[in-house]
Amino acid sequence: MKSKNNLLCPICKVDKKSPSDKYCKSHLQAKEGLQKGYESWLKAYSILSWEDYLKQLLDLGDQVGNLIRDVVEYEFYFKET
Amino acid sequence: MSTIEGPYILGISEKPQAAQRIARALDKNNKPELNRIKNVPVYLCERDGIKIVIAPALGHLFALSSISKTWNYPVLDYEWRPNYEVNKSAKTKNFVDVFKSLSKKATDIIVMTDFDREGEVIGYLILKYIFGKDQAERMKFSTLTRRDIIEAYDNREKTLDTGFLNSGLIRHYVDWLYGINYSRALSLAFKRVSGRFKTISIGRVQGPTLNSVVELENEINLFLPIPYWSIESEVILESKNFKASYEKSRIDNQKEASQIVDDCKSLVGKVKDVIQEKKSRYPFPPFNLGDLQREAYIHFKFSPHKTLEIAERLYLSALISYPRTDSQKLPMTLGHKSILTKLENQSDYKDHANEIFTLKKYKPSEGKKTDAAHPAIHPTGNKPDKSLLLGEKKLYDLIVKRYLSLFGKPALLSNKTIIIEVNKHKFEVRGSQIIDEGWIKYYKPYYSLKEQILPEIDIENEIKFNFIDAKERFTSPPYRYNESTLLRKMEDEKIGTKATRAGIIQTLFAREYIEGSIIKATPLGFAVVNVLQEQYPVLVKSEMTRNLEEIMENVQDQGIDIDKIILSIKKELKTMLVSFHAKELKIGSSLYKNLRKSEESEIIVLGKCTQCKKGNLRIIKSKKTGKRFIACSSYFDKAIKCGATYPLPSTGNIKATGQKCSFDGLPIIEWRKGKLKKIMCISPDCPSKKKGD
Repeated sequence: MKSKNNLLCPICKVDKKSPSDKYCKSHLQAKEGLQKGYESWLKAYSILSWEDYLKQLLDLGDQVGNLIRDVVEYEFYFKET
Repeated sequence: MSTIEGPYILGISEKPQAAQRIARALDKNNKPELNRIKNVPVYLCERDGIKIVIAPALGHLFALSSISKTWNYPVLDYEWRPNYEVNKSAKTKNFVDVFKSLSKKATDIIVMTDFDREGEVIGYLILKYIFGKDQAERMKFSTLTRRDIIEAYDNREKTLDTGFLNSGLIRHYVDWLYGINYSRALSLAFKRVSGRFKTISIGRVQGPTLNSVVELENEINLFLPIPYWSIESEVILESKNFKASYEKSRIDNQKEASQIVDDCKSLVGKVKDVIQEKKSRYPFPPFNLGDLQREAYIHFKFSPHKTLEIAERLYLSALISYPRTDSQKLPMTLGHKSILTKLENQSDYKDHANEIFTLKKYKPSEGKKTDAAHPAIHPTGNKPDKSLLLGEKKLYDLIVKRYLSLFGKPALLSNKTIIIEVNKHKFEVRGSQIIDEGWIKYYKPYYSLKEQILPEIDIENEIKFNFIDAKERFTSPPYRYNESTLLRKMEDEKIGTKATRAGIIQTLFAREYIEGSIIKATPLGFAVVNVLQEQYPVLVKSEMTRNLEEIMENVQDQGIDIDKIILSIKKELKTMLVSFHAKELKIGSSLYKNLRKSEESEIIVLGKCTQCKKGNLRIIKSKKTGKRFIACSSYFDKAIKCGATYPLPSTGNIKATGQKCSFDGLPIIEWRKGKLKKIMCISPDCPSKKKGD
């Protein structure tokens, strides 16, 4: 059961390309965009933690693309410890 | 069948209304004799002592059909057959019969269809398959006015236009070959995996168009807003407030933005410069079809398809010229003075036409684009002889006003910019005053200018600001397409033609690949594009279609042998289909997976089935009747085959509530229609309903 779950994207339950991937293809692409965006946000605000970045994106609601929002919500509410 | 006595010249017109117009113009008394043969209106007129019979087609009377009767691919052999045999809903049999009957006493034939690719093909196929001929005389006209028709009759060509004919025929062959083969290939790939048949159709232009919608949606889904700041300010000039713009429209860093506000906290600046310049604004070019479709969308929200339909009706009523044109040219031979004189007799345009006469400028402004067959869209000057429908009135007004604006002088504006410096930061206040409205006066209300008159201010004057603030903003995602911008995208990508683009967008709607006035791809549209992008990208990329368009354009311009080209296109298509066949299983399973996902996302699950206790109760829409009902998902499970079904109200919105009925344990739904709302059990026999609960 555990191995089957490892093959699915935790956000949309679609097959991942490889078990080592964190998400499916679309959400991986979104995560990449999210990371790139952090650099621009950091330049804009000079000081900004990753958590604050995610929180601000959550506050922007619909202005954020659906796939990015999925990853933001997942990373913010299900933070891996 | 025909009782009209011969001999006569037979005219082939494209539509009944056009036949009537042509007959009226050609008859010496403008009163042709109407004969109804098998309910088809046929006109008999007399001109210079010669009898002319004009009969209409109903668009295409022949269509391509596969010679082989098996449902497989590749299908590379085709034949032309009467449209009513290929397309059961086509009501064209009587038209074919009438032409057959009239052919017996005809001494000569003149093709009088619209002068474009389709018109040439319509005429040619009637000649070939009814009259057994390859050639006939050809009338070429751009409007259905008496003047143009008589001129076209007097100067008719001895033969059909080979360029248009070949380019029209090749388009039919290529579209048919690509459409039938890839639709069959996709449907069969799906059937091979799923065991069930589902028509999945795609065409060579539909694929890339749908792909554009899906790609934009993907871009929006992956959009991440980036923060930036804009400096907003307001100055007081002669006790009036004006908005001032900061020298940089976007500041990418919060610190820099705060620093600017801090530097300017005195709110006092000095005028450093006042720039004044006169600017001319020239009229927009005359309408070609694409420009007309865009402008009609902006002002009336007409879809490109609707605009074309209305323009077609205005053309058939001889009120405007032929609308399927790329041209932005209006040559002097069109007789602008005469058109303007006629417009002077229409109360809505009388004053403006009059004013143009006093200017004595009869040469209209033109754009760059040309079209070999037709000029830009323009009014004929004919007064509408019946009251037009609202949509027709609107479009006619737009076309007439655009035409009038082309004779106006350039609009003249005086622009003024006051540059104010606050602690080395520059701000600009911009104003504009209209000196002469010129052509804009004739094009109102479709274009207007806003004036902002700035007071006289001297250099080095001290200026006070009401505020200078930094406003935090975020970049926005791209806009989704509407029908007008999607049409523009197709033009930019050079896919489809002016005559077909609007129809292709309609087909994508009809096949439920896209939806909404702000266009979104449906789950089905996403599924088809995703599979093709991954497995067979050639069908969704623009390159192949664009290359084909180029080849087909060359046929028209250079008179290349089309049989050779078709042969090479068939060869290439065959190779592509072989590679598709090799991937059929992969494509099929990918389609099956994606379509299942898309179907699931459209299915509303209400809860567990109480009969089989295994399946889910879901809202299903019957493909036959279009009616909805609730059924158990285990119906398709051969081991269970649960037949539980429940009826649903045919109208209104239905939502799952997640609750269960206390009487029978079945799901409770919420039904809404307008202001009415009802929460109820799905079972019609539920005791709660009997009690009036």
